[in-house]
Amino acid sequence: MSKIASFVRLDFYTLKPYKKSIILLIVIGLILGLTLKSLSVLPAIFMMWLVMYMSYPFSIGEKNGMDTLYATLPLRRRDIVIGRFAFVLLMEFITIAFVLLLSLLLSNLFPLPMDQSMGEALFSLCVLSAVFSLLVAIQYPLYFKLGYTKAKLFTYIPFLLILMLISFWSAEEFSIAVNWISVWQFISAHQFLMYGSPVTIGLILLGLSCALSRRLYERRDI
Amino acid sequence: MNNILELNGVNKNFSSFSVKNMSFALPQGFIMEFIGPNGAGKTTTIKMILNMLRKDGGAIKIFEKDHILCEQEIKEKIGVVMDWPFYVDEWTLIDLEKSLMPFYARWESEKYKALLADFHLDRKKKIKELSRGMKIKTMLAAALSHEADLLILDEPTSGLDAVARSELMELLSGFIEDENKGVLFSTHITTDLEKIADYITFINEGKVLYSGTKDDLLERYLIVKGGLGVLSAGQKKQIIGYREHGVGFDGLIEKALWKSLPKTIITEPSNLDEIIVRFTKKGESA
Amino acid sequence: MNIVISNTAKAPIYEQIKEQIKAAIFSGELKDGDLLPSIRRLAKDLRISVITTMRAYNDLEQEGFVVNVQGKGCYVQPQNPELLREQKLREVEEYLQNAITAARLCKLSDKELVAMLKLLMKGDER
Repeated sequence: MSKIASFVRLDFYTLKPYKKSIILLIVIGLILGLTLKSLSVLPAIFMMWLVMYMSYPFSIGEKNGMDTLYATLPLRRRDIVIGRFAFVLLMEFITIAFVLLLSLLLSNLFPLPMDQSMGEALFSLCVLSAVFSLLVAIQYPLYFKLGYTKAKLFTYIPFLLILMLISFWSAEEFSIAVNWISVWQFISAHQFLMYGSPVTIGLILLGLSCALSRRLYERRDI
Repeated sequence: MNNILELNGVNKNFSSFSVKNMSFALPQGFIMEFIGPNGAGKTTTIKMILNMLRKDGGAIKIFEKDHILCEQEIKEKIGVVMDWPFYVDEWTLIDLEKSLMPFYARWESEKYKALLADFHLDRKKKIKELSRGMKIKTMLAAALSHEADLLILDEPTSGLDAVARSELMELLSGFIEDENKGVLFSTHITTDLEKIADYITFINEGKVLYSGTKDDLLERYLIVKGGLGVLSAGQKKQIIGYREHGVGFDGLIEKALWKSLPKTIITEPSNLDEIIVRFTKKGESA
Repeated sequence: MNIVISNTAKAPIYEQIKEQIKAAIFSGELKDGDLLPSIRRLAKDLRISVITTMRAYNDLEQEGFVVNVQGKGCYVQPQNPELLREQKLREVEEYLQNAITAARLCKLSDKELVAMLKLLMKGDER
């Protein structure tokens, strides 16, 4: 366990030189939120930043030949994969906590119109986190198998997939086939399902992806 | 005596190159030079030892334990220096320590600081601001700061000037003063570092041509030189890396065979450079 | 004690170490019971391989000049001065015999040989 924690720490150190640009993005997010006079855009903006950063440990790692460093450290390949997933989960958690805190703070400091309830904000965060988990779950095994440069070519796949899902969603026949409204009514009637199901689905996806990544990385020649 | 590192029939196949039946052993307390021309398979072998490349067959033991089954335990006691740095180039040397320290049970901050001072490395400098030689020294400092018992260095002398090579030599022979330790370093050219090597493993085209003590290797062969037309065809065949030129010939011969050659032939003690050149040549003509 | 290694000398390095330690024992610089530098320290100081140093020490032990005490190091053994002298005398005899053989081969007279020896000794006195 401590090895995995050390690896998460190493990933944070890997990103450390980029902390200035991360702070800049936070400021941009804040300005956007304030100028749009809406708190509901904050989760979307910050999740977008997170999507941008989730490949950084791989790209910085590859640029600096850090797979070799990992191979010299007292780590097994599986510790590296689990550590990387723990890192991205932690990043996600930090971002969500940050967005929630920020929303609370801003709504108290500025007389911004509350265009949504706290419950709705939380729900959109949960859904966003599920989408983020899906992206990670698809991209990370590719990074572990092929390395950043080669895998980058394939990273548009999850975006395409999401686009396809959305277009399905809006397709007439599909809406009829599944009674989405009743599904929604069922979910919103059960608070736990409302917040829990996207998060749970996200976690399951990450778990599966982690297991797959482990197999792929253990077999990879560096 | 215990072997600190042992390879037994290790294989690795690539489409255009393969390491075949690689076997050698480094006893505890000694330094081994792993030498061969570029592309001979040195880095491939080192990467297999570190489990960066998966071997296709054979066994690798470090500290008498399987290098994959006991990977974590083994790597706790290994220090690695590659000929390219593998740290974030934006890191300062302070960042580097903070990143590595948590992984090792026996990290010694004082030693790291002392080594950086010895190497005249500024802890506040970034990796990318360092010269090539300084980068190698940085890796060396990191490799020596967690009480490693086995040092593995891939081409450590490339890019080092004479002064830095001399410092490296001093450091390695100081390291080996503790007879529980061992050093494997690879190189494609013979360097002054060869002086302190106890064992030589000489490879070419993925195969071991010699593995044993340096003294035995140097004593086994003689350099022979002579005029044209003094050797019979059979005798020419006994000479390794036989080369004929306008006014004579030269080559390498096993000491045991030398007595059978004509008296007019001149002999000289061999050196590693000659041995490697002659053997590599022999491989080419075969 | 000083040990100076030449990398260009014909004699192998272990031989050079051996001879110089022997010389130090003969001259009395190293006395009975003196501790030799440790193998690994000497290898480090001379920048040579540990195995080469080990070989020199092993040879010295086999020839009875030193004794290796496990975990402590190599100690100089008591030497019988008579025996040492005798050994050296035999060496001198052997070399002189070689000189005589060589002189006979090129038909050098005994007188000329003695004169040559005297001349060489005079030159060496400087």
